Amino acid sequence: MTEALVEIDRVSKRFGDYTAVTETSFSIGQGEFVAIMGSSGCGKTTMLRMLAGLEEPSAGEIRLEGRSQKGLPAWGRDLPLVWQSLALFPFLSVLDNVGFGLKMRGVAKAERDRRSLAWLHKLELGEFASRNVTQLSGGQRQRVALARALVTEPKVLLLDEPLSALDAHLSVRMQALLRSLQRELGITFIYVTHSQTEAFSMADRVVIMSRGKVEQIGSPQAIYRHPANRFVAEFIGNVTILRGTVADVGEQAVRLDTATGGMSVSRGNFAASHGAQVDFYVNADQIAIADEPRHENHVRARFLSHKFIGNMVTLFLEVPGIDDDLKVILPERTYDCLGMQPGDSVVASWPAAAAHFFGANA
Amino acid sequence: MSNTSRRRWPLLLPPLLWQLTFFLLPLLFLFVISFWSVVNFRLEPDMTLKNWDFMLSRSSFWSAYGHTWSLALGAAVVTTCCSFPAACSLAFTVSERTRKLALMFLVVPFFTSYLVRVYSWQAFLADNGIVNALLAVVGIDGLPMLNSDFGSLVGYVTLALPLVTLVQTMGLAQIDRNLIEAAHNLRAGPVRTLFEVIIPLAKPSLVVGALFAFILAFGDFVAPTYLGGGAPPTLSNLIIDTTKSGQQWPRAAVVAIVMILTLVLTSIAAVRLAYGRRK
Repeated sequence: MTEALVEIDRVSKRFGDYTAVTETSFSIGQGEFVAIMGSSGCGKTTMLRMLAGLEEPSAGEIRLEGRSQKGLPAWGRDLPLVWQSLALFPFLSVLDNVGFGLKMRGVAKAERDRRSLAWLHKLELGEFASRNVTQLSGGQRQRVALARALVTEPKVLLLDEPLSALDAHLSVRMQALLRSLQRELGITFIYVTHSQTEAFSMADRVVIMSRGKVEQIGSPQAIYRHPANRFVAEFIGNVTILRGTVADVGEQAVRLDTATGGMSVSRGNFAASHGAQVDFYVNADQIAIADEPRHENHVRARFLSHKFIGNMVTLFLEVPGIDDDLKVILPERTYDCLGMQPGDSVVASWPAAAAHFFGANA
Repeated sequence: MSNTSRRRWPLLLPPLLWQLTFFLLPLLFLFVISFWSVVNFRLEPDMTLKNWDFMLSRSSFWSAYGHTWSLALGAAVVTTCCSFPAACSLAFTVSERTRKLALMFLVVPFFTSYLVRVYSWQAFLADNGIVNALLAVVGIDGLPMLNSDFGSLVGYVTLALPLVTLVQTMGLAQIDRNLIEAAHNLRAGPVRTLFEVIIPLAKPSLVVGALFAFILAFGDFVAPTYLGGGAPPTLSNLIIDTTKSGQQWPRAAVVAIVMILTLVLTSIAAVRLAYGRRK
């Protein structure tokens, strides 16, 4: 990462007795696309509002290009926000909505119309310039909101779940647009979302928050492959968490005794002694399903149900001795070839490299 | 007509009957009377235009009309400006609970008669009244406030302020806070946000509030009589004078109809201004 553009330094936010954000620190580099992801109430929107100056941190400091933003009102900052509700001004035309920020900066009418129109054309909205915003479709209004935020050429753009009101098809197109815009402009995007699809498809780095705290920061690949803890693993939902007692620590792998027999787990930088009880996780897309074991770790399981996500299928298997269902992700074609029926008994197996300890791959 | 609307139409009967009895019929009667004659101080059914001719051809009528119009407009502007800061603080700075309580208190002035409230203003505004006594303390000579347009305006504001504040507060409270924050986010400070965002968004309630003040002031006879001194007369003063002198109810009816028409046209214009959509 290059030099930090935005630094969030031990920031907390309390509303009365309720703590929305607790001592959170991370920094964001120039030109990065960062997604802050979490379920509702995790503090992600509060974090964004503090960046925009709409809330003042109860403790800690936010710095932009090294300058503390403490005490700086929202209207003194250059951090335009794309609102979840879009917050377009209903009494202004599309053109005047886009030019609002320029008008507030004292840009003359002719110049701000020229710049606003240029942005409207760029986002294929040129023909709607004189329309009322209420006459546009959801996707068009979305782009007006984007143009309004970008027309002032900010260094950082804040986005608060801007796609949550769009249908899936439109959302995918907007994701592509946002990603290409961000690359082209080279500015920093800070994108708050509860959607894993949006975060993982666009962001360079993802910040996962829960109950006001950062759970993990990393690239989508890193978070997907190596969740830092049980919360992230369950939130992302692509692994099964198992528990065992350390029996033997080897060079590459650790042997554990589990309720379903002995298992090998990649060691990484794992540091636990013989006899310790530890959690580990198995990546769902690295498990093989067959009539007989294909890899060194294997369990006999009963096929319960499945669900389609795109061209992948998630299978849920019941394994005697473990509480959670064992999750297996297979390409749809592979699943078809297996020809399984619910209730069938199968063997699920995986190599030691598919199983990891939390935090052992940092 | 669909089945449901056929079954529901009896429900429309009470309001229709109400409108007919208390609004349309009296209005019609007023209109008819304006063509009657007065013979020996008694009303006689007739079909003459002389009442219309008598009133509308007089410059005194038109100067009273102009005076009433400008006083009512003044009342609308002054009341709107006086109540806006209060409505803003009720809508934006206090809690929902406090707002509801404050709106309830806005009804309290209606517990006392408007006439009593106007009389009490006399004590404040008289040449040797409370305000002038206070002004004398800081060395300002007595200001003539009673029996002037200023006095009338004070009365009109007394009459309209609670209602206008209520209407404005309701309008302002409905503004989407995100739009205000969005303005701040786009570098509009509090003052610019007020003029660029809050006032445009609150326009319907501001115009409707001002319209209420205009209507109340236009037809009010208490303030111009007891605080304005009745001279120059307003249209309501004119109605009273006309009916008192020689039982000229038909001429008063002409004035009343002109007033009603004025208010109808003003209301239409105001509503168009309030809810007019940009193209």
